[in-house]
Amino acid sequence: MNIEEYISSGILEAYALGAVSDEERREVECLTSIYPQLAEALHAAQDDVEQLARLESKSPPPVLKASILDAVAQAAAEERADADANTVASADADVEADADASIIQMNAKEDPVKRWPLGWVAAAVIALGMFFANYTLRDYNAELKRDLDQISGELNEIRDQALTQQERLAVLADTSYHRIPMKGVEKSPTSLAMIYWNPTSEQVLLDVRELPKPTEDQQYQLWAIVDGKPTDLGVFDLPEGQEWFEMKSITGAVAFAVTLEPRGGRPEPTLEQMYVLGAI
Amino acid sequence: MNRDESVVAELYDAFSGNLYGLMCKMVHDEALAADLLQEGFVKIWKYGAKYDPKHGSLFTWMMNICRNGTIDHLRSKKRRNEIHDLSENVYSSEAGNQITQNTDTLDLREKVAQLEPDLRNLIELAYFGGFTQKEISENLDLPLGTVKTQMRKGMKELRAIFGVRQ
Repeated sequence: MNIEEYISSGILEAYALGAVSDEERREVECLTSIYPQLAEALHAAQDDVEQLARLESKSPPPVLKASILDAVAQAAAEERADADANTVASADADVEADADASIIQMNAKEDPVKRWPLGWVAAAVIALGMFFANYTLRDYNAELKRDLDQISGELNEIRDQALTQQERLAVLADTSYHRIPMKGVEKSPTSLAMIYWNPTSEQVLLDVRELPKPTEDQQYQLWAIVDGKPTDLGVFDLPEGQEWFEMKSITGAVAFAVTLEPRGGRPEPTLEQMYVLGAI
Repeated sequence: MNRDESVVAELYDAFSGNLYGLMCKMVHDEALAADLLQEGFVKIWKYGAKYDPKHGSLFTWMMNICRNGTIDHLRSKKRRNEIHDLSENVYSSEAGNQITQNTDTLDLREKVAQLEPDLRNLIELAYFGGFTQKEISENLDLPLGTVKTQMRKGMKELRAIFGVRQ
């Protein structure tokens, strides 16, 4: 994803102001936990909102503090009573439901042995939880790593392609290369392949555009006609993508041709198996 | 009082003014704001263990707890029928608030007051009014995209006022 674009959408500011939908909120929380750059931008927006809120600062009535601390203490007491009641209830089913909370608490304290099993259960649950959390995280990490590997693989592929395209453009722009179309002969009129031949460097590049798929035990073979005689320039299979093949070098060629031969090629071309032909 | 409860006292001393001011601005009723602040602090005490600094500052976290509780209250009271009423309230309540406000923020307040009214209105509707961008768009009959870009623009200007950090 494009981080800069995401930041400039303004969604982080909207989140900091509490003005996003539930879906957007989950999205921001997820993405900011993955991308540190987003978290940083979000924190900056939150700082601004804090400043905005601070401008409204106003002293509460003095009595409020005591009242709030009382409310918290009461909530804390209720929570402790609940926790103790649960402990005793599960440890000792005979305790009457309407028993006084303080008695329950004392009972619980006098009977620490009965609390132990629960403690162990809790510890086991926590350990189990941590085990699964760890397991899940490792799973998640492996998944991320797979994604990353795939992406870097694709990136390399694209980089290779870009390089290849650049090299091809250089060849096409280079006037010292002859561009020789080899057109399909009667046997296969729609076939087509291109030769880029540099007589000075003697380099021969082959761009197969269209040739029938040969059987497993067959291979195409490229020939150059030099001094009226065919010279082997090497065998090739159909390209997987659009790659060009670099064939054997040659000097003094007047024509190029491709024949279909048994796998590995032959010293002499089988002329009735010629597919394409092009003269300079 | 155990350790957690004494932490609440410290948090109260540090943040009650900010939180109370925010809630007064949201509900325009000091007694109600005090009640909501109390509810807020009980929640802060209850959920304190869930606070994670990675997701923002402690103040932001506390502010959001209090703000969410206040929005729930506003929604349950069905006092949120018309944005017009609310945005008028937001402005009219300011004169009263200012008397008890900190003097050291006066300068900043003046600068914020100078923000383009439309931009400022959007930010205040969102933050103090508790409206989502979608609700603002529907109620003010503005395209959602406009609300989004204008809100971001307003926040950018706020940042310029508050100064560049880090």
